[in-house]
Amino acid sequence: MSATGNQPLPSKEQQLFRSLVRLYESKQYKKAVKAADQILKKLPEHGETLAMKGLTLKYMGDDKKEEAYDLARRGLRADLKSHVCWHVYGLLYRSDANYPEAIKCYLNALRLEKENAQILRDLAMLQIQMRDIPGFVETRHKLLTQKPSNRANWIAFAVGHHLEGNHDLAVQILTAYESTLEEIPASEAYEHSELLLYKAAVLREGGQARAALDLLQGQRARIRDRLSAAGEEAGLQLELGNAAEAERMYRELLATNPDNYRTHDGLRAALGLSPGDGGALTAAQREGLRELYAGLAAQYPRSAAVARIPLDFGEGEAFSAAADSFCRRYILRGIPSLFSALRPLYGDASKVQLIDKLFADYEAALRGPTAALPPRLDGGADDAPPSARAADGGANGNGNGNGNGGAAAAGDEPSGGAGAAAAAGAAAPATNGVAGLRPIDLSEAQQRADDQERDPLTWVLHFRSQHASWLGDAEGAVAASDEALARGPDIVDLHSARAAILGAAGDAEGAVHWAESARQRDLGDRYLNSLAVEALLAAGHTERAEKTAMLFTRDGDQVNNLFDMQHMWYECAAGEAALAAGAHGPALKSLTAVAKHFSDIAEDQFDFHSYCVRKMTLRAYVALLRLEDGLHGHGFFVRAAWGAVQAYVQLHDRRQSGQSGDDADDPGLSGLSAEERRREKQRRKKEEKKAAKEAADRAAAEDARRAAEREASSSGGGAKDGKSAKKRASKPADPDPQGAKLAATEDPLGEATKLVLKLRAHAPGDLRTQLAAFEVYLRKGRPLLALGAARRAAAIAGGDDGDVHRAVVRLALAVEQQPPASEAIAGVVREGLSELLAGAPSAAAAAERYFSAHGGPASPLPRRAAAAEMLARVDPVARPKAVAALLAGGASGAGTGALRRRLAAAAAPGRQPAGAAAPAAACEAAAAHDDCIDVQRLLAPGGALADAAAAARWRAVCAEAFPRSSHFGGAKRWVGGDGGGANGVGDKLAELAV
Amino acid sequence: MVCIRPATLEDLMQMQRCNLLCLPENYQLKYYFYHILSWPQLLYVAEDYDGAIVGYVLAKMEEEPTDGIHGHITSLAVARSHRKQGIASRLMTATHKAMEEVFCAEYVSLHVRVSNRGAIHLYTNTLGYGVQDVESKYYANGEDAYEMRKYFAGGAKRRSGRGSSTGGAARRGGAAAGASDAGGGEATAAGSGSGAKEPAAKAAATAGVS
Repeated sequence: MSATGNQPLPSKEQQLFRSLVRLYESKQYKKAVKAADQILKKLPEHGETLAMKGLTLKYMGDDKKEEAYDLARRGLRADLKSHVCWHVYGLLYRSDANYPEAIKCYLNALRLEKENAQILRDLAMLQIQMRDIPGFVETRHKLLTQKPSNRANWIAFAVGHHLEGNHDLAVQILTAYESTLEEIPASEAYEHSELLLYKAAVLREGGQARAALDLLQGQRARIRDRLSAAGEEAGLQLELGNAAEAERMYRELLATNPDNYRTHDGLRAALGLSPGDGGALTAAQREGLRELYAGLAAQYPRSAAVARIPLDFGEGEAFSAAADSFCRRYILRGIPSLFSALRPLYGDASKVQLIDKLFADYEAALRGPTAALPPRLDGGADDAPPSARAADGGANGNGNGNGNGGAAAAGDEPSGGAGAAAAAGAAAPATNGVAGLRPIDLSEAQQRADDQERDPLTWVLHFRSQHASWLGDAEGAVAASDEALARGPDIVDLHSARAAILGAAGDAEGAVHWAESARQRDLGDRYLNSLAVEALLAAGHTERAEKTAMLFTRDGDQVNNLFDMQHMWYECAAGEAALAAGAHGPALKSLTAVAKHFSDIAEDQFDFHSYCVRKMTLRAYVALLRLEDGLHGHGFFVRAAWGAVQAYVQLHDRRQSGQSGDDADDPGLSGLSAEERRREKQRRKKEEKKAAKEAADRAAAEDARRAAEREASSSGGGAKDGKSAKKRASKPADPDPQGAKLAATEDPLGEATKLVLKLRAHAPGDLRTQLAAFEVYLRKGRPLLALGAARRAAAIAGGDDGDVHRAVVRLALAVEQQPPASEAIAGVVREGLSELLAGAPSAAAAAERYFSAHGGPASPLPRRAAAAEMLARVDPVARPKAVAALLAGGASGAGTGALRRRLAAAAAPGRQPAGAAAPAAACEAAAAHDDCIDVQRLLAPGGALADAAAAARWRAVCAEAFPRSSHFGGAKRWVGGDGGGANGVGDKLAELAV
Repeated sequence: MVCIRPATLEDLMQMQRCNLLCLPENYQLKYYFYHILSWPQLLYVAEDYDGAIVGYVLAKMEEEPTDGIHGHITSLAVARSHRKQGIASRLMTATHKAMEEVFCAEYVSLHVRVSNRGAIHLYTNTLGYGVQDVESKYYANGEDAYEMRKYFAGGAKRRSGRGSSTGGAARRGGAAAGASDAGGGEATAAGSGSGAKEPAAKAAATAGVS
């Protein structure tokens, strides 16, 4: 860059300006500023120098930001006709991710300097980031015209057309570019291969399957990624109706990896063995599948997929035989995850029965005189005796599996776990024949566990316990788990499974006990740590959960580290736990952190726009752009945004009730007498004050601790300490560690609206999105928008859904009490409402009708609860009647509401960490327990149906229905300590570790 | 049972979640982006029936090799709940194959904690890695790492002693899967930085005004 504006520089200053630019580009900011100052000393109003100085300052610290913008503006004023000044101003905005403003600046710069390639490139980058695809194509066209010798110019132009949906044009551009190539040097072979694969993908996406196939076949010699090319070819053959050729290719792919289910899907499709439109298989297809997989089983005896898939299509005896063959391997080898492999079959009641029988037979035979599994149902022989597994080095071998981090973090003493480098012992060294390995010995507990894992009956009992838990038989599950644990007390997986079983039965404290017990057995294993954290959060022990999670983050600077590493499952779970406890600050702290991660991830793509064009990884690049387009529909975001909106709405309600006395929208106050309201508000105020004071105290203590740490680390320590001290010092202390500032926002509904807009744009089909939108818009006095949300919610969940009913009645009430001022709006709302109310003339009539239809004991609990709540809302006098009806049905019919929520959470990729081993993921029993807790909240003080006597009765009913529930105080709930063992030693250990 | 397949962009957030569940060495999502956008063939996942990612391998090619073209395992993890099924070895085999076939790698390297018995057993006895070196205090908590290498048949300069696959040692230990780049300091502090060695941080990208 040189000074080009309307303020020519004398030659000495010209030189200085050039070096200023050079210094800036090589990040020697201090020197750059010095050079700028030298010029400004002589020419204080030189625009481009002012601008450059501003840009340089921008990178010298956040505190210089204002000065930077100020200088850039002064520079611009001094030299409005300089494209450099405009470009620099744009770069400033870009560095703050204010892309719309940056684009404006670039366009101004280009008006002055039409052909400037650097500005055009910068502009194109922002256009693609903002998904201004037509703008991007136009800019890339200019760049290509300017410099057709540059490869990147062709590629980016083609990608632009691809993204705009002009597949043919994109292909033409790529072809034109290829024709300029002569020989492909070996150093660019990979890039060229990626280019060909991208071109084939564009052809296929544009409906040119034949051309895509021709390309892949014609260029085989130049395509390095044979695996994905073969997969594409097979898919194209199938698309073109060449089933035999597709079959051949899929079979070839299976030989490389027989455990890729997508290859299996393709092979079955090629053979005409996919279900028809109705989703059902014909008898002939079933027979075909049986033959296919019998053949594959002979070919790939070690493939787990080949063994497992017949369970999906088999029925009756064929199913039992396939299940037997599959399960024996897990039992004989002591593989803990058998239940998770079968769980997808549990939607089919007949298969559940067959599985039940199979395992009853296993158990009987193992307890019988032979103490062995019964003969195989398929008449074959079991492949390997369990004792051989240790030496099995094959594809299905041992030696892997758990995600052990190996080392314990600061403060945690490695126990007998894998993280420990045991000092002594006579056990065999880990490996033979490899030079340079230090011996590691097994701890005694590990040796015992090894022995215990060889007992097949233990694994049969383990499976039966998870099976029973899934089916809601908590007592059967606990009995089987008890016996399994008695036989294999050192097998950690049995402890984890017990935690999940108790969690599903509502025994949150018992789950904590067993998850802790598993963790204590291998302190170096982060997976066990994560399960313990999850159980602690589910039980509401947020502080202990944080301390436990902290064991695996460096420097003990837990929260920051979790944030830096985008630890979203933890932040979601911790935020939800805090919200449940009414701690709005910490809840918002965690949940908005997740939202921030998503902004960062959207920002992450920026650097890859030019990178991928250079690397030629265009298939992956386009996939990145598409992922980013739908990013905020991700399960983690929806979950966090939903929680945060609830928190904001509650904060809003609280303030409304505190300030104006208008409690109409406060679910916690509705239906209370004036005296009750007064007392409730007093109680809340007191709580708020107390919470605020505690938060302030904690924040102060935290500040002090950090200050002390900084002090300590800056004053001493060796090289290593110096490093960590530097790290700590460079990271400013979190000014709001407890989220107190977030919770103190002036405009909670405004904050909530931002999240609702994202939800509506990216996850419109999720019920939570519509309910969140409804709550916010109702409170903002936007009846049309609230109506739209209620309508969409009804379309998603059905008009009889309890939450939809609540929304419709509350909207109708609000409109009746305060009709919209505009007659036009009022008309539309009335019309829409009358549709949602299905002809009921008023909110009261709708609530009464719903109550008589769904308020009775035969209805699902969530509907009964909604019916009672809304009846009491429209008619406070009817409250006793509503409460009585709600209690009349007891806990029956519970589960549907929470089950839907749980399934929604499970369907989202960001679901709970327990992974496949935990039966709680969608267990009906756990869902029923959740629904009952919801009713408890309605009846509790401050709830919509607050009624102390009824609440006590409800608690008793639920304690009987869920005898293991810690929430309802069931008789069989866990009441002991929750350390590592029943003897209390574990508690001590836990205290020490924490 | 789980499906072993190449990772897609949509898998990355779940890979990150699996990593945070299982391992102490963690990375920002951008680092996963960087891997898949540079070497899309080298990332594999193990997907459970319900769609959950229960294991993954995150690998790369050395960008400026001084000692032969080679790949490197950045991170490997399998959830403890899914152990003993051979998942880690299948993930590793798949990425090895891609390194050799697509990128002409001569060998692959990795770092592993010297105490991680299960993982060491997998690498040496099942997968044919040998110890190249010991890196003192490689991990954040001060633990040493073995630098291990496996030479591929095609590009073998020399073969390191392949461990006997019938070694009598009983496999065991809570641990396996757990090749981890110390990520540690760099991956944490630099976070995106270490990930974005190439896609330069935006600050640097601003260079070159006309």
